Amino acid sequence: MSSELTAVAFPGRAGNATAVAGDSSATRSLAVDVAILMAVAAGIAHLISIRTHWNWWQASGAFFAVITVAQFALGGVLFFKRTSLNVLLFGIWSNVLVVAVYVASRLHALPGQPVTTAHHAPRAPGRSWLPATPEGVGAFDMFSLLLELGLVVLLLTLLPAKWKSRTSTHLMFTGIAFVVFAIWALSTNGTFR
Amino acid sequence: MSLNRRDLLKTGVFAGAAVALPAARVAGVGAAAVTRMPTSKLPAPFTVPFTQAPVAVPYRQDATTDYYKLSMQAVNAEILPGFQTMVFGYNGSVPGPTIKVTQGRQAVVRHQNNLPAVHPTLGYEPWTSVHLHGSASLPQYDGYASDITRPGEYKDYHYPNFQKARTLWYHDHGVHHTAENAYHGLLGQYHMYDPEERALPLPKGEYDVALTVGDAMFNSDGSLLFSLANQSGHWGDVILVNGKPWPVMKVKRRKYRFRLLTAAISRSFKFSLSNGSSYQVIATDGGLMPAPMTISSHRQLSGERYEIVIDFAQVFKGQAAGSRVSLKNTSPTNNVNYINTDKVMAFEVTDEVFDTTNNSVPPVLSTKNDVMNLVETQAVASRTLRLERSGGAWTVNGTTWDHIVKSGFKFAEARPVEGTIEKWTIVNKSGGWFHPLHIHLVDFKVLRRNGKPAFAHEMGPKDVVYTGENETIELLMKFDGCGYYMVHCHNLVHEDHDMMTQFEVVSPMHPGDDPMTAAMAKSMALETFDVL
Repeated sequence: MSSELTAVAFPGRAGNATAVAGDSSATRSLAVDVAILMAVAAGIAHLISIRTHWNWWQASGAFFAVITVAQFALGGVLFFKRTSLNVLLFGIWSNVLVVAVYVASRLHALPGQPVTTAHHAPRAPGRSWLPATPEGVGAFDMFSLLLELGLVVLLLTLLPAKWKSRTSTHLMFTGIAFVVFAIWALSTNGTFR
Repeated sequence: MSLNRRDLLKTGVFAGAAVALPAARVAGVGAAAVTRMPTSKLPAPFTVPFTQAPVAVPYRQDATTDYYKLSMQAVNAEILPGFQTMVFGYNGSVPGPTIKVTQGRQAVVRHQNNLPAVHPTLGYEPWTSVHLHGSASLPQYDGYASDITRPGEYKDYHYPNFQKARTLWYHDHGVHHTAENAYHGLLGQYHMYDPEERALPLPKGEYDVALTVGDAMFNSDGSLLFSLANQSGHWGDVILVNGKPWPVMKVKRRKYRFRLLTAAISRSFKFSLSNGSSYQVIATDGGLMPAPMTISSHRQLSGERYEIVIDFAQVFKGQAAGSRVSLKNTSPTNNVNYINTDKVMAFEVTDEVFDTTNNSVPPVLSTKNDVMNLVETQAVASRTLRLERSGGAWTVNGTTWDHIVKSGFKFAEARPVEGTIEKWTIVNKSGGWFHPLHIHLVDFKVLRRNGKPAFAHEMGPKDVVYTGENETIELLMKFDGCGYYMVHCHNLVHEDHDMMTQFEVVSPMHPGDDPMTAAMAKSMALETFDVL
């Protein structure tokens, strides 16, 4: 990260760092508090899901474990008043990555994802199965998604104006990429048949 | 802490896409329906003439056996007037040719899989396994789901035909693709006759009519619309009878015997005549009932067969030629219904002269049916099968077919001893769905439904039982035979999503044949040297 970025610091819970013009410490403090709660809540949501995902697909379980650690770490860093630009950008883009994997997994089977059921009839090795399909959308995972999206928006508001504009532009392109991916997934019926 | 309008909009694109795209895919059934042929382009009910499937002709015969060849192949058929629909037919026919056999004469059917290597639109490999539903075939000829015949292969199925007269049907049973294959047409009726049934004065010949009822949905180009987005089932908006949409059949003023098979993928029906007339049920899945039952409606689901006699002299009494009465469907719960799925077919009366023989239903039909003569005290074991949705999977006693596969096809839910009688209790604690439970090999007697006597139309030998919402059904059966046989839900979408298990009939005298290896499919390239 450039020195410009690391040099920009933002108020934490007590407004003890350089303030951004036009922002009040109290508001920023509340935003960070809410961001901490959301990061921890997202971490808990992923922690709860590790076991079932591990049983289904170990790579998925490991991914959930990493997300859990990252969300708790983000919450911890924010709690201990580390709200540098690096931290905020990490918080935003790590959550964008999680959201991207979520969107991808709901639109198309992921590479290496286990087949729906592992039927390997002896006479047709490797052929007698249902191809892997996109995961379903449930209330719990939608709740986690909304937490992550809320976290992204909250952290975005804490960025300086220049970075808000730049980052929101990148987010917009990410959203467009989701749409392009969805069109491709529709053409493949969501599977690697 | 704020975002200006432009940044907010840009972020909104991201967040909106993240939420809306997965949600839109979940609504995939709705998306698929966008391509569905509009109702306005479907034929009006009761405008298409009724037809029956052709009768299969043996390829050759010898002293003991009739030999048939049936080729499964993709063909275009005009199901909806003016549209061509790609279907899978046995010898190009949908439904497949009706096979008619006599008790005591064996049949060998060579089923050739000449289907495309990959389904042109659904993208799966259409392997097959043919089940003669209602036959006590050896395990290797029973259509064991994982005993597949791949495109370019064939398999000879040997059918013993020792059982009593009945309406059987043959249909695909290939693991994971039964629903698609059957939906595309891989099914047909198989009638077995015996001296007891032939001696009765029941309607015969042209008055003994096969009705295979199903449903389908079509894309706007006439192709079949099939979606697996909903793992609960697949329901069409067009009711098909013998492959024709809501047909109209001309009938004479006399009794007709209808062999009514419901072969829908998931739909269940409650049949009745539109003018409220009653009709008689004379046979169930396993053949003649002890006595006919007069009813005015009955429910029936995938895989069940009921032989009913309708007396059109009574139905059209006092009405002029050209009058019509329709067969209705007042749908049971938990089906997906459309504007005309309450209609099945119509009967239009004529004043044509008719043969007056074989025009009655005797008060006693069969006293020799072993299954119906079983009594509960003969049971040496009681078992329970729970049909449930568990962990996102359709299960029987908590297991799926995957469990069988992983056991090397050795796991068995039950191991009854050959020749013994058992009571099985089928439990569906859900109010959200019904299950047509099919037990291979055996005929069973329905003892009780939720502690009450079986319905009147069920009081005959059965092999599929309507396991309705919150129902517990007690069955009695005798295990003759040996080896591994399947038990599964006959909602074919449930079946394909693994709602299958198996039992092994154990003989103290000899082991049963292995359904996977005892008679394997062979390459079509070698068929020249394998004369049937």
